[in-house]
Amino acid sequence: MAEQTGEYEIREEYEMGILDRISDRLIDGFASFMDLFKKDWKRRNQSRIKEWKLMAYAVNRSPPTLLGLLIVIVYIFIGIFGPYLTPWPYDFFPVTYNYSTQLAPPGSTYFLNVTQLQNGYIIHYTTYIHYLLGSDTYGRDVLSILLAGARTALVLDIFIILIGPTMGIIFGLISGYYGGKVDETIMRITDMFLAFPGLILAIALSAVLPGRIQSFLNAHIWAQIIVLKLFALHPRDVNNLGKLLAVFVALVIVWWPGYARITRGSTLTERESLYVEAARAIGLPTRTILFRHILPNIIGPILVMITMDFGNIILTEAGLSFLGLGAVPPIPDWGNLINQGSQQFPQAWWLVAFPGLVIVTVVLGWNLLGDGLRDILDPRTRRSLEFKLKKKSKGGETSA
Amino acid sequence: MPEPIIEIKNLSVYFYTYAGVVKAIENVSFDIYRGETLALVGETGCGKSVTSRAIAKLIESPGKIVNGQVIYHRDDGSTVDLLKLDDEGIREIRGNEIAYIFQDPHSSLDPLYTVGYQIGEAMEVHEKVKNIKEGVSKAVNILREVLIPDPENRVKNYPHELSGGMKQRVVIGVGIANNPRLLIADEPTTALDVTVQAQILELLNELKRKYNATVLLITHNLGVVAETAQRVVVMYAGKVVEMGTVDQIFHNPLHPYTVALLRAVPNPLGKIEKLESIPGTVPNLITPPKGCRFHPRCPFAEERCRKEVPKLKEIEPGHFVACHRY
Amino acid sequence: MAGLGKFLVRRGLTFIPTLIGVTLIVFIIAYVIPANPVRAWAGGEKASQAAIEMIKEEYHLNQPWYDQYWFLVKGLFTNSLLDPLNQEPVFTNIGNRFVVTFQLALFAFFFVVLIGLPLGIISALKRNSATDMTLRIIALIFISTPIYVIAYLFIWLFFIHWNATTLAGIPPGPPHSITHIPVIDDILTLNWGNFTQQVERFWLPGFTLGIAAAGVLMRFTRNSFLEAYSRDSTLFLKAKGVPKSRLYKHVLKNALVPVITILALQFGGLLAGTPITETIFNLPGIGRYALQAIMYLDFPALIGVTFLYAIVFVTANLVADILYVIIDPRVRL
Repeated sequence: MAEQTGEYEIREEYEMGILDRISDRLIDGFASFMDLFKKDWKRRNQSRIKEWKLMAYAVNRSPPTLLGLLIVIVYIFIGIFGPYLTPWPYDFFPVTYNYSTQLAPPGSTYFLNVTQLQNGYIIHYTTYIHYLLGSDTYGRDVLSILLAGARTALVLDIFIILIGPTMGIIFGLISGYYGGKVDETIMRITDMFLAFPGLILAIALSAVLPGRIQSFLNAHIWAQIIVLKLFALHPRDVNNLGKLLAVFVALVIVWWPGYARITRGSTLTERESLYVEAARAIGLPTRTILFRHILPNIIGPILVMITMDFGNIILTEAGLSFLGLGAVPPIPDWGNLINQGSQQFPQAWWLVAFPGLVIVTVVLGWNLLGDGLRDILDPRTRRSLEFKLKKKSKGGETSA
Repeated sequence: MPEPIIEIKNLSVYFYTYAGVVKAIENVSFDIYRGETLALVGETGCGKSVTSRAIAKLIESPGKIVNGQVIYHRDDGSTVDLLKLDDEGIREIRGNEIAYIFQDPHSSLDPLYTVGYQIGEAMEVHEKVKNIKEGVSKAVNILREVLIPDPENRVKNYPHELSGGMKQRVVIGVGIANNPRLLIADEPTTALDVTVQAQILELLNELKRKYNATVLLITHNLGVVAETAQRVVVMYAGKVVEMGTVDQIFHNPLHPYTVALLRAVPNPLGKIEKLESIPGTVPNLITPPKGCRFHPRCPFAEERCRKEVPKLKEIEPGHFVACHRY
Repeated sequence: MAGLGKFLVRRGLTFIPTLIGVTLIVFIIAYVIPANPVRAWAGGEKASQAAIEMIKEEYHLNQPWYDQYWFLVKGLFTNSLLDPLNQEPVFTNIGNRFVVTFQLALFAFFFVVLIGLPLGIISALKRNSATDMTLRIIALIFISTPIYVIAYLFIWLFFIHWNATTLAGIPPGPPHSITHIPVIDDILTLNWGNFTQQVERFWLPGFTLGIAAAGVLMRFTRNSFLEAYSRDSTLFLKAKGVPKSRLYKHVLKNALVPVITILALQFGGLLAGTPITETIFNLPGIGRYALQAIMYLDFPALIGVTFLYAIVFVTANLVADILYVIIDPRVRL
């Protein structure tokens, strides 16, 4: 990074690794993209762009964070494209107990007589299946379920985070800013929810809501279509959506109070800051103060928590399907595989080991990323990151 | 002929941060004479605190002392380069022969220990007393010396039970507990009320006289300098720009920065005229200006100033300046 | 500490709405379902209409909602509320099972402190070294693993492979019970035979439950230590010439202040986090009881259990606050 600060000033050169060049390009690309929408965006946000680039350099120099980022990118990729990459579509195997290839150990191969309904015709054919990672009690290929299950996890992740923490943050901002009765009420309600053990609440809601949700879906076809498309499921599985969406609602309800609490705490502190007083003095509307001024200043730790919650939601959701709630076959789900494995334990070890490994890796990825983010955003740890420098004027390498 | 107690030669400290290498101080050299009060002045960020901490190797990562010597002259005449001492060697000197007083008394003291313990501890770790208990009983006397009323009871107080001024007195007490030869006071009054400031400065002077010590006073307040110091070292952007006696500096400032500085604050030793601010801002020390670091803001800057770093030259006896105009 | 009594009373008052709120939440959940739980209570498909009517009467299910709510709450407090599945008072059921859960949480807590604290401090002292990195990664891996995966891994390792534990039944408590918690009573009455039995049965579930929390504690302790180390007061100690060992004593004391309060909250969390562990290891605790209550739509039991959970949460928070007051001289009531 060369500092163009004036012809009489010393230039500083960083040792720019290939990752730094990539991140620079990406950030510049994003800046150009924003320029298309809002005129002059690049120039006005120059210092912010530079900050982002520096943060990217910090990420690039932390191998655990990079590993986390890699895992997350792979997870998102498979979450989007997984269902189409599977060797066998998730619903290839009818969910019955009579299937001859159930519980096949990893690496086994079978010949299959398949009877299928296609375009109104009943067809028979024989095919051979190679179960790379084994099969479950329904004869489904574990590898395919693992790939397809990523979609289930990713969609749940995204939408739960979109709604739950957002609600919580908004409530927290309001509660912290206004104080008084509003604060008391909102905090009492969040306390009520927090006193309820999260897992129990999630289980209770997941057990109790499917009926209602299913009736809602049956009454509104458009909702059915949207959900089916999101989760990449076949229309014939529509009756299992109720249980799946019950988990979604349950987790949203479980997740919002935590964020409300944290946001409220930070808002209370920020509220006393001078810039808030100044903003009030010049008559800015509360909405602007909350979202354009207070929120960006407190978003750091919240962002870290959101990153780690992507992983935690996967853990909780898998826990629920392990208990038999939420995604049931034929819907592909990682926790469900482990549930099947637990019933056969320890014979069908591959039903516990492989999904377990996948879950651990993905959650670990999010946690590593969150950790790295926290180190970058914390001004104290930022100061102590040491770099290797190469001074252009001196030509040699000065190690830190 | 005054003899030096500390000779600082070509001291450079760099901070290796994620935004770049901050050259906090570069080739700083000056002497501290025995028995004097030397004021180290400059604006925030000029490197005075860093210099003072480097004397006893108190620079923490990501900072690093990259160059220089700090020659300490002991009472018995021997000299030692503090920067070359090992951990145990420098530890014996800290708090013992060289003591520090930091700016913020609220964060200097450990909140979980009584003030008596903390003063006693200073004596105990240097084996001036047998154990902490004895240290605490001696701490009562120390508290009395720093003019804290009711020391017998105060000694059992926790830091948060004391006011800012009293906390700073405790910090001073910790500093003088072992009869130090050099007291380094880093902006000791900046965090305190104006009324308390004067008391603390007077206390420092008293103790210096009583213990026959030397004081290095870091401050950005020229009024304090005029009151308490004999000599002044002016720093800007990590370099020494001028050195001299208080008289010389205030009545005959040579470096353009010193001149501008004196014009920017009410001059306690001269006629009060219009206050002028210095145009421009303090430079970025990751990419400091080439040549003289003040040249972007200097009204007399020439071509030479942009290229060459000026060296300290003695203009009159004891009065040094680093500027190409001389 | 005279203010402590007033403090407790004040806090107690603020918790009552929370407790009421929790029971209200369960109540609302119970009445969201379209299905009628009574049929399940009466024995499922084979239930006779007369039995269903009788149960409806008994549980006031034909009354308006506020009447039903009052009936449930009153029954809770007078322990007259009967669990429709086994006809025993709800709180008796819960009482028996809570002991098991408490013991499980104790074992888990033991591992949490034993593993988390020392490793956290070591990690902080050897900051950024290979040891530090390894410990942090291992901690993070355990935190990222679902508890049932850990459970099966450990069962495979310790039970099947090494046969180092038992998975069947619960050993009864010692003949003289003082605290009603078998392990503690064993120690108090010096009944080492029973003690060994309890340990044999509970150490693995405890280890499983606690390992993730140990990882969390390790990371928190490490951060707290590093934060305390980077303070100005540490620099002042160095300037005083304090040797490293004494320096670390200061830092540790400062670092442990938030850690101890976190421990109180963690214990509360352990008590509430047992459902899956109890199910896998076949321990009759309140976690498993709660799961069964949900599965069988046993709402009287569920209200009782969640009420207990709310008390646990409230108590843990209270203990954490009190600990803060005791340890930190700056915090006064």
